[in-house]
Amino acid sequence: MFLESLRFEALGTGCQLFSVGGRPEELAGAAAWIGVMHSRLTRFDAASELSQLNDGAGRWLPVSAELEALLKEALRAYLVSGGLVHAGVLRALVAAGYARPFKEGPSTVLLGVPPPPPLPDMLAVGAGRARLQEGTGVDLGGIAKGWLADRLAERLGANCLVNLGGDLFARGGGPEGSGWPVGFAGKTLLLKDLGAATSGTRYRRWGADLHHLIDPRSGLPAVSDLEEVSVLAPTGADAEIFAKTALLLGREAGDYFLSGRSPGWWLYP
Amino acid sequence: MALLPAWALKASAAVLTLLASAGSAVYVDGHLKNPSAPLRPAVVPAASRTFTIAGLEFAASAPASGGKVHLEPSVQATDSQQPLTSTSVS
Repeated sequence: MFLESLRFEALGTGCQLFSVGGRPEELAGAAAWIGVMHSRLTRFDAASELSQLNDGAGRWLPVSAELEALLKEALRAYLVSGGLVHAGVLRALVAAGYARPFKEGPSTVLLGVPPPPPLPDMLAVGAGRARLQEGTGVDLGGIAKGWLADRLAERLGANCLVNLGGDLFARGGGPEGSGWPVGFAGKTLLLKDLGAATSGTRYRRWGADLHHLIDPRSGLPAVSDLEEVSVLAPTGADAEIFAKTALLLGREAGDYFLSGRSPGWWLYP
Repeated sequence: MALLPAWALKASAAVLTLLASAGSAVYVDGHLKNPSAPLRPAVVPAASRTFTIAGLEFAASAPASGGKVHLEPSVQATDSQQPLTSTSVS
């Protein structure tokens, strides 16, 4: 069977799609869908659906099925991670100097905003609608890529690999049936129906203590004895959640957290 | 023709065995894998922070020589296939 592939840029990063037996137009359609999701979910466009929700904090607003699902995923991530993967850190991210796309450079740094309240207190999601607590905002950059990779893999068929900026899901046996060959911690793993993700603080960094990974306990860029964590999980969404959680927990507690949850991980100090 | 005594045959067999063992050991010691031999395929230098594919820039993973890797037995690794893609920071 022929291996079809497509590389493109979306979600502020490089993306790759692979499909065994897929048609080029199917991959192009999948990439276009990611483009639509990007335009809905970006916080850097005041007209996006997410920005509208943030701007309308304090009242119920209608949301699309995809945003509703992703907001519910944000609540799940909060629970799974014990509150560490917190989509409600938008104010802290902006205060840390990440108010515009990374390629445009940092914005003014005004550290000192209080830590966000628990996500279930600030975000309510109903059927086709959502409400944010006044004065709060959400950023879905920490959970969207893994979740979208899972959704896209569902669309692309039984034998595909979706990699959205390093957060990926490998579905089926790959080109040779034994699994998709994926680089992980310097090794090549054969992934079959597994997600993988990496979280780190050395990329998207603009100062000694300034980077994009906010610790919701402090409202400040995270301080950890780990610089990078790669994780395998049953889904891309879980891999992304587990990787961020382990990085925020640090080496010892992160190792403990991943035991029994993940079939493989790499903790890089 | 005089027959060799049994003890001489046994001693000869023992000496031959010892010589063969010693010769094998010398050969193996002299043919260790050269640790400075070039890797095939070439490995991207660990210092590289990003790489580009089709005009798109990807973050390279940190050098894998450090850190702690844990893989359950259910996870299969391979040396015979090149990775199509990698998980990486973004």
